[in-house]
Amino acid sequence: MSAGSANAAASSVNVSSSTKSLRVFGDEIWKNKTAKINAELFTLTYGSIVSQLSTDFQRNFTKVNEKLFAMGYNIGTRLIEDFLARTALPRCENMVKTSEVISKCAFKIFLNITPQVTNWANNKEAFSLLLDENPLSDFVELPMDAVKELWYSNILCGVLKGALEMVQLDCDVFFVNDVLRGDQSTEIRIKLNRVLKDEIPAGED
Amino acid sequence: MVMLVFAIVNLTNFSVFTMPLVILELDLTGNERYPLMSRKIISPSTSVGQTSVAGTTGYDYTIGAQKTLPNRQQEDPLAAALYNHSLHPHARRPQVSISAYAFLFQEMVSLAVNTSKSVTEIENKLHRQGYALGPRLLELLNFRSSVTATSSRALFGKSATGPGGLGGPLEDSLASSITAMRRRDLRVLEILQFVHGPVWTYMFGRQGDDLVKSSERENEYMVVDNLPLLTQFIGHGNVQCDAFVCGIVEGILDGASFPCKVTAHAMPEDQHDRRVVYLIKFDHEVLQREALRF
Amino acid sequence: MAIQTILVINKSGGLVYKKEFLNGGHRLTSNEYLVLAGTLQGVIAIAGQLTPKALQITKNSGIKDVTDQETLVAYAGPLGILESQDMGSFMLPDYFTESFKSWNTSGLKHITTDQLSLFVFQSLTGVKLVAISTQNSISNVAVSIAENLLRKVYCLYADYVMKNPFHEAEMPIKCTLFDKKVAEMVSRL
Repeated sequence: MSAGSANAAASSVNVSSSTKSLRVFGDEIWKNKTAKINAELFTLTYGSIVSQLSTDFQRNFTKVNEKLFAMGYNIGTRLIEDFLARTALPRCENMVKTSEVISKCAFKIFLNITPQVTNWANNKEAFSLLLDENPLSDFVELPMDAVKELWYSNILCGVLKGALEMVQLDCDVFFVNDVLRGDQSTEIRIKLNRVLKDEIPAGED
Repeated sequence: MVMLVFAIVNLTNFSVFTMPLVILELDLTGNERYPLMSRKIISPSTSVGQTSVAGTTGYDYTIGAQKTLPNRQQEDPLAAALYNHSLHPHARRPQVSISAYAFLFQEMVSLAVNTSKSVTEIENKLHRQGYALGPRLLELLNFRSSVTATSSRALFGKSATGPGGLGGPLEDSLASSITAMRRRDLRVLEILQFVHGPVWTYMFGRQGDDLVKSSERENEYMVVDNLPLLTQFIGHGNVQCDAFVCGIVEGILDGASFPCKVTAHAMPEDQHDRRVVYLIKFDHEVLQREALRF
Repeated sequence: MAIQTILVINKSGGLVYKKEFLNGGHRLTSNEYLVLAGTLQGVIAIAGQLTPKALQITKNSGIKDVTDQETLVAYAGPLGILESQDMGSFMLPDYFTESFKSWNTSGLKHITTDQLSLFVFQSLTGVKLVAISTQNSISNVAVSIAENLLRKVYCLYADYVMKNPFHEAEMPIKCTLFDKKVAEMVSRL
């Protein structure tokens, strides 16, 4: 399937059929359109940042969490432009579609992983991403004083928050679990607060 | 699929690594000189921690790495496979997009900018963050280049890729199939070629574009990069963001006992507007040592 | 098609980037450009409200197929991308190679006079890219080429503006690499 037809299909309203093609679409872009770099260097660089912050904040990990989130937020507000330029995907009509795009396109294109979407709230406005793999934290072990407080990959929540806000979705994004803290899974929760209707650019329907 | 190699599974089951790979040591300071690499082989997949008391998960930074004896019985096959793959020179490396890296890098620079008062301070911060990576890469890349052809076959005969390969029949750990670690680079030229070749290829997917010796000063060498991967979107400005790479290189050279200062200089050429020259100035003692042997 | 000017307008209607490519002729002053940016922002907003009610209702009722077809922009070829080119975070042969859907469906998209035409590309985030051409055509081909070009400029924006730590959000773009890359792309058209 060509990327073109995948894109056309991705904009179709039928969620079940677009689920598959979004995956193909994301894979295609990752494979053919995205320049890549050694993931270990990425892991190491991120480790160096967290390490530096831990020192800067005198191992106050609550502050480190906040700082990582703030850094992620800045990244998200920029990264969304890259994502849109690369994919030209249309606005998602609901959170179900949003979750698919985040997992199968965004995570795929930037980090080459596809988190599972799960734990939907009844109103279909909150869901969880389960990260089976996480290039930010490969081979990381938390020191004993950090294991209960630090959300090592908290930058991801910030990125999601920032990126979603730029497409006018006001969401809460936070870690629920992290294998680094001894949990069974790594889970990020995304909860839609409201659609920022006033900020949707004029010219869209 | 291959990414599964890096899946974090049962991390709590091997809580003390003897191989300082990419374990986050939060107390590592920029100025710390790394101990010289031992030629003795320590299996990376050995572990203690099965017997550890509840609540003591994690690397204890107050104690540091603990010396442990290999204990085959307790070895988790998945963990062993994980390490073998990760340390193997021919294993397919997982990748992320350059965009993801560039955004992270961009934010790291912003952080340094927002917390500094001068350009020098910004560059020093980036330098320090890179420096922390140096010793890890030195060990890791040396280890990878120590793996012999025979062990390649042992590892990849049946389990080259795929999640099935992870639990596949691995006769032996990778470490035990290495007879000796690659000899440490002792000459200036050797270590520079190591930086220009394997280190550059590891980080940027290609060799450095040139390796030059200064004609004016005995202790100065230059690694040339026509299009620096990490700063390609930033270009040359008041702040030299390549200070991060300088830090990495200096960390590697310091770790290998070639104390030096590394600085980056923008030197655009016709075809290469973002060309950067990394100037390596070795300390005096390096030249003295170099002169001792002929 | 000779591109005369490329503009970037931020989501609140502020002009953050302007680049003129043709020498000679009458030029707008910086102030006039600012007014142009603000006016475009306003007109884009008004245009949405001008959309006939009947059409708005049809669209919202889920009959989307027809409009989807209408707003799909065909891929217009490499437009001067070289095989040896440095593509930043993208990969050769091109920034994109598929048709794509325009995000701007009811807002202003182009203006034409006897001497020139103006094209607007708007992202979901509200960033607007404007190209002014010396050709007085808004034929389908011209529109599709302009949309393609502007999406490529948007790709350059994603690389050389968004990934530059010294650029501040919503502020004027002072990135030499972005400047250079846009100029390169336009000169090869």
